[in-house]
Amino acid sequence: MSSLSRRDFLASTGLATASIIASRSGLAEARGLVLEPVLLAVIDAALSTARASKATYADVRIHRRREENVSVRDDHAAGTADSERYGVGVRVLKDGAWGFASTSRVDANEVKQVTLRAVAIAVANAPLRQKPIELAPAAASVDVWQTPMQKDPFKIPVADKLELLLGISNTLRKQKVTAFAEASLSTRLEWKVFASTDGTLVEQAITRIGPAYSVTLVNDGDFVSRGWDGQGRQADWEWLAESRFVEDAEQVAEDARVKLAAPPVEPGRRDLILSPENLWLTIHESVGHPTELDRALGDEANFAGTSFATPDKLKTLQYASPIVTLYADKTTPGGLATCGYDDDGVRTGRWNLVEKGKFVGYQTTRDQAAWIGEKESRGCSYAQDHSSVPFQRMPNVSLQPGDKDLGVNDLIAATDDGIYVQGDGSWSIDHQRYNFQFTGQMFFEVKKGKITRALRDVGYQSNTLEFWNACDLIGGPKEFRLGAAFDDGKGEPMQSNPVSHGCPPTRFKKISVINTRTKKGA
Amino acid sequence: MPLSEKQLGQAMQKVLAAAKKLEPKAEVFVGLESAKRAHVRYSRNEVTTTGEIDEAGLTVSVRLGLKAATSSSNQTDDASMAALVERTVRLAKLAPEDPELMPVLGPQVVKRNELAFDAKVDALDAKGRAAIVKDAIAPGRERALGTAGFLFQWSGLVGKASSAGLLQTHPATGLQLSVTARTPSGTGSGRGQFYGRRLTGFDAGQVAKNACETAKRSENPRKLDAGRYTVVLEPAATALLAESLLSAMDQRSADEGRSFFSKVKVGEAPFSPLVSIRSDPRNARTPMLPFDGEGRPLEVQPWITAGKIEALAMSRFWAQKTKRAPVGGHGGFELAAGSTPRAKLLEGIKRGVLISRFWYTNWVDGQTLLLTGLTRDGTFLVEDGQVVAPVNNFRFNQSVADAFTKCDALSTELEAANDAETVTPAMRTHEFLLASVSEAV
Repeated sequence: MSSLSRRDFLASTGLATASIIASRSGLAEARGLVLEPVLLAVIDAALSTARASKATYADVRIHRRREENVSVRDDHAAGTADSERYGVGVRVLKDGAWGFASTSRVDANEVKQVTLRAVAIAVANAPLRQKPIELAPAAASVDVWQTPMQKDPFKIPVADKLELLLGISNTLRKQKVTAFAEASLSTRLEWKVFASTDGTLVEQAITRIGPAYSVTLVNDGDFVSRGWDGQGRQADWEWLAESRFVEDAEQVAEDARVKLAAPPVEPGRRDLILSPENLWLTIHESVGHPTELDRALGDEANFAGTSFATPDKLKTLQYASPIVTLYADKTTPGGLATCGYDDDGVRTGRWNLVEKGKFVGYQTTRDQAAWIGEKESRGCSYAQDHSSVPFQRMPNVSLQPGDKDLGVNDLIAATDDGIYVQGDGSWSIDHQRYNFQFTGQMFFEVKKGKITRALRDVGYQSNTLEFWNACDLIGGPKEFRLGAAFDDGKGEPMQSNPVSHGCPPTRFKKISVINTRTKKGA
Repeated sequence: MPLSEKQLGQAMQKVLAAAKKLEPKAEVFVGLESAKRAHVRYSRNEVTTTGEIDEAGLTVSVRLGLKAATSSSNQTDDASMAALVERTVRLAKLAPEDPELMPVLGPQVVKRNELAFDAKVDALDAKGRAAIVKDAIAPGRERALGTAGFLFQWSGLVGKASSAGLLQTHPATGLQLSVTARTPSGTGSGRGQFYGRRLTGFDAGQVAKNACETAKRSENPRKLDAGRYTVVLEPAATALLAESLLSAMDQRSADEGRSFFSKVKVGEAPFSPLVSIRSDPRNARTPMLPFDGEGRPLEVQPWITAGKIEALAMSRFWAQKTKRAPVGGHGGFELAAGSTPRAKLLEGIKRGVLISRFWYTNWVDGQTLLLTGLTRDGTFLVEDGQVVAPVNNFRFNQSVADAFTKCDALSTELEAANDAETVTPAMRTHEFLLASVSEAV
């Protein structure tokens, strides 16, 4: 192993006088730019070949993605799987068009050929551009970033993980009726080195954990399921140990019993109190996706759709009630999308998308910023692996807690006629992000400030603007929690993006509630 | 360069030999793919991203009695493959016992399916792909419509091998072009698509023209209230309902009492007698690889015949436990054509809705097979047997089972509207719940 000094790298890129962003504080545990000679040769082969081909810009990502998945079903192990993908992706800007190619063979000669292939692809497609791609400037950075780590989850023996899951499964199945339980734990490492002709060289290591379990009860021709409310996290093993992953199993088992016996909901307009474990997904679909600039301008029209939140509505659209501020943040501790730099090499940050109810911002990349007259990217470029083209992906998007430190009990006490929804269930939203429908895991009737009974078969259906403008009570910071999507899909070919969304319990007035089984309210 | 079939077989044999050397008593299964994947994506009538990937995917499963583990990697040099085997053996030794483990398969008799591969698709290069996309962009530019599209090319080899003597390799290709056209007013949208394994019948310009025509026809939609309607579903919408129905047809969950099919059983006929669904790897309209993920040969499998449930999918473990034969493993299917020409499906409808496509579907209730989702890219009001106007989109909340029960007409024409291994006709059904209006276009 040898290390590449900043001076060496800047000399090799010809950008010795470029401004350099100092490493951030709090990264004392980062490993540093420790690169094997073969990797330095790979970087040099890509960037020098691109320059020799007269590419106006090029970047190279050496990317290793490791994943371990263990699962149990009822009383036995159901799977122990480990996967690893490693390779190099090269992106070039030539004649105003992007070209991209990749390889799993990480050596300089191979990468030189891959770079030439990326150039040939750009040249072939350049005539199909109407105007050249324009990159917003980005400061050259030489830096390292990694998930804070005390105990690496990959170093916990698989047998220990499976024993943990079997214990949970046994707890879930302590029922008087037929019960089926499943539990799983996914651990992922994303290690990558990014280098560009703009002089950036960044090494990052991101570790994510995805725990999950559920129980299904079957009785007399009826069945219900209850899943754990917890969510994935960018974290080390200590986080899981400190979470309520194990402790909650008793409550989940009890909830399933309650749910099986609960009466169905009567459809109608009701006040909804949504737990963070439910609302995160609604934020994801109704705020995260509509504020993607590529979607708003048509890049996703052939697949995921466009957005009602078009640039002409910036700073004028009343997206939500004035108490609502929703922000994008790729620095949220524990957020699945949190990192030091995006896959354009842009340093990450935080900014508002909706401020005091007004639509004020978008998610952007370097090749998008100019579309709306912005001078720099928001740092939202991401590719799931070495063989995928980086494009705009969602940062962590969260609801800012209210000024008063209200908890869910305060919200319930303040509600005359409502339903308290815990956990996430079924979800769906239209291709411009207006009409959505969500269910949940547990539902409780609220009357005159108190929970009166559990309900089942509850769904809520609304329109994004109607819903967010009906928000009238937001919990405080003490009950702000992160929810997460491990595999948010977007793009063609589809790529997976891990992303988190934080919020406290929040109330929405007079939302349409449907019964998901009688059909009459649906 | 992707590996040759001979190289693919040799690589799998190397993995098996390494495993045998390390753990002679282990049962080992190897899956290896070597493929080129390339794409061109465009929007606003110009290319946005392009890419080409050429690499292998290796999966190794090791079973030591009832202990097992699986590892995968994209590194196929000798040292990496040996390391992968070593890691998998180590993991298997650490794993608790899984009583549902089944032995790896031995030699299988598999008849090759020449329909799954096309040398012309295999030969497409960056210039060839750019030429296709140029043809796909032109109709939108000519009509002053904004189009977005995606061209995807796949060409490679799939192999399966085991320590019990299984060894099979097979080539396959795939080509996909989808185009969405939108009117400048933002009130009209249409889609065209081609999914196939071969270039035969592929016309990029026509795919784009279909999208453009629907976009123009759907412009300035009229407001239509939510409610229950007679609907005619174009093949893309029909395919999504049929795929959802098949995904719920699982024998184990039915036997365990947690499925719609716990109450509605094999041998019963809950669906319209017009509905027949079957998988056939050698059907020229739905060509598939001739073996499944475990290497088991795939043959013709009827699922529903004239409304009667013929079989539910069943894993090898569940089949052994319940003393039945395993069922399924197919990638696609054909919903049989009906006897009504597509143009005549609207006849007799006093008031209904013609739906081009569904979007963002998700299960809402497993007991009734209630599916939710949205209409998209062309929704039209039908009155007295004629399309009279484009209308707004809807959210639907509909039991998929009910939709196939109330089906009273299927078109004579079939189309691969969602993938290369699935073809469906257009379908008419009744009392379909369009639950709320969507403003999306």
